[in-house]
Amino acid sequence: MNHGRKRVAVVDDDRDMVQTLCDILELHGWETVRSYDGEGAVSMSEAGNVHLYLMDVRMPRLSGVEAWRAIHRRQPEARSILMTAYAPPEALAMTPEEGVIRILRKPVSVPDLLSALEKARVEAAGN
Amino acid sequence: MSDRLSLRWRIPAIIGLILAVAMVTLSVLAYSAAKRSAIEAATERIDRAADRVAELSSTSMRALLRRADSVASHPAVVNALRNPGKPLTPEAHAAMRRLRPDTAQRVKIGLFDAQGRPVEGVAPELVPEGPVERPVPIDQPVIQPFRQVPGGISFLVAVPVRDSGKVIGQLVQWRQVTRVTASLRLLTDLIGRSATLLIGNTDGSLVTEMSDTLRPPVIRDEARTRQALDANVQVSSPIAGTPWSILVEYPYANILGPLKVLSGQSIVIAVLVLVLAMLAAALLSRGVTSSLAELTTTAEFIAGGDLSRRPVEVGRRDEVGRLARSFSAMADSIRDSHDQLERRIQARTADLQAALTQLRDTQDELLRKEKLATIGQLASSVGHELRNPLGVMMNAVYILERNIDAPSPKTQECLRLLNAQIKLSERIVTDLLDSARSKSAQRRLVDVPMLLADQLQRVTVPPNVRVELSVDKGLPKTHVDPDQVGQILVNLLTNAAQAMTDKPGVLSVRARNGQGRIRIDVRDNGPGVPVDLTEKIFEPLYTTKARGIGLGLSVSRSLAVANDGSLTVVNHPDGGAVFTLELPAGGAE
Repeated sequence: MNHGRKRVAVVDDDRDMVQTLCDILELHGWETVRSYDGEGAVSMSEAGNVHLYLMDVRMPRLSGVEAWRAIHRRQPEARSILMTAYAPPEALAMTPEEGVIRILRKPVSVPDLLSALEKARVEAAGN
Repeated sequence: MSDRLSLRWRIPAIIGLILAVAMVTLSVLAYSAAKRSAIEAATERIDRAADRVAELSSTSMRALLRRADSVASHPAVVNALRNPGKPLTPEAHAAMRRLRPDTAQRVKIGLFDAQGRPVEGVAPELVPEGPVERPVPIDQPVIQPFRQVPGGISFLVAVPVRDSGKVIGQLVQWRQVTRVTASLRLLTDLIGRSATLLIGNTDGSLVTEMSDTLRPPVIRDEARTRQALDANVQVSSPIAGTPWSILVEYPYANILGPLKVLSGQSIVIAVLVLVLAMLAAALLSRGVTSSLAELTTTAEFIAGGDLSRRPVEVGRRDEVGRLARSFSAMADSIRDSHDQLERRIQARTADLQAALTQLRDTQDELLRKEKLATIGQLASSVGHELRNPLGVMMNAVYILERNIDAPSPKTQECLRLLNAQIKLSERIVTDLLDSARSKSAQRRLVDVPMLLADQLQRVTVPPNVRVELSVDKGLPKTHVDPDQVGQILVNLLTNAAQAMTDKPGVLSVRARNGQGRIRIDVRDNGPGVPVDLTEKIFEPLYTTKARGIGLGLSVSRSLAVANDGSLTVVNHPDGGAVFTLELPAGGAE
């Protein structure tokens, strides 16, 4: 089982953002999978080997919220952390049932990110 | 108005004119009445005198006729006519000579028989020269009118000669007119020397002047008559028993002389009265017109705006005083109305001023909001877009810090700078986004000391700045949105710290209680705020810093107002700026 592994999909249309986030996470022992759009993340979920998603909200075509809803339908056990530069977190109106652990405001502070990821990992593992 | 037309001169002038006309009219009437009565009186007197003189003449004529009768009835004369052709006897001559004048009259005498033939033999010195005509009738005495003859004036007197009652002839005298001394004396006695005595035929055919007692009478021609009539009063009186009349003339000058003197005196009196009346009228009218002039002056002052001016003659007890009092009352009411109006205008002006201020404030607020709306649009595109690169940079610095094994001090310094600048950039973006977003305040009761301590931790204070925090004891909680007020405080603290970068400074934060409000003073000892900028710095996009977009204070004030508070700034007397954030006290939770 992959449950409990420190493995996370980093989804953002900004490649540099993906790159630096992955570098930081790998420094802290995380295994990362990269995607640069919502469709990529959704197709990634088909394989079913990723259960944690770190996703930007604002992306071209398919937004982070839409992509996450699609993924969550397929993987109800999966959990996500959303990152937003635009909309205030409360404006996204995500319910706890939707599997979103936290919505982080960009720029994301590393300690906040790590603690949220840890929390998500534990929750995903519990499912 | 010229002085000439002033009432002050017109009243005396009119009074003088009326008086003058009245006096002239009266004088003329009085003079003509006096003249008429003087002339009447004089005429009456002269009339009486003329009557007396005529009587005297009549008496002397009757005496003349009696003397003629006595001659005509002398026997010698009768005899001579009984026997015509016989020489006249000496007795007869003697009798006839008795008719010769006892005065200087020259007298001729004739004797005619019944057939009118002259009796011959009369002494030549008695008989007139040239042919003579016998007067008719012969049977009664005859006195004929005066006639002009060579050398003078004469008249004829004839009486009948009777023999036993039968007329047998006629005794005729031709007498020359001479001086009438007795009559003149009488006349002078009666009416004085100025009178002229004249005798003439009653039919007016011949008039003689008898006034000269030394010379024979003079016959008057027509021119002299007219002249005399113009200058004199003339009275005639017929001499009884003769065809003659006495005329007396008396000069008007003598009658009217005293009247002239009298009228001269009355003219002097009239002029005096006129002058006195005009003086009195002038004084009176001056009394009235000076009051009017004073009232007019007062009215002009009032019209010119000096509403306190009043006439001085209000104490007078006449009509002028009444007028002055009414005028004063009217001026009082004008002043009252004026004052009332003034007060009303002031009140309205104040209202308008207040409305204007309010309007200006509203306009400023609208302008500010419009600016903010523009900024909002800009912010949502730029601000958000910057957050991604900032995030990437932050991540990159984080990785660098961990990938460099033994960073040199320089590297460490650079990494620290990078971190700080990224945080600053993030704050700017946050300000931008906050100013763009109109989030309603989520107010609750907040502990002020805790709020202050939290925010002080969030601020990076340079090492040269010392922070002093003091909070009044028993400070109530404040009822605000802690995030929004926290943001205000971060802004104020950051600004204060940045104001003191060059030298050692003190950042003093003091929270105190004041009449239901909580006042938080954030004081630095930097350069302070220029006095003319104390409001300007609260406008959006205004900044005095080299870095910053000028939104911090604008957003802070908006947030303070949104939390029922206020944000103001003053310069401290000892230097530096004091920002005061006033918040509502909320009491115990």
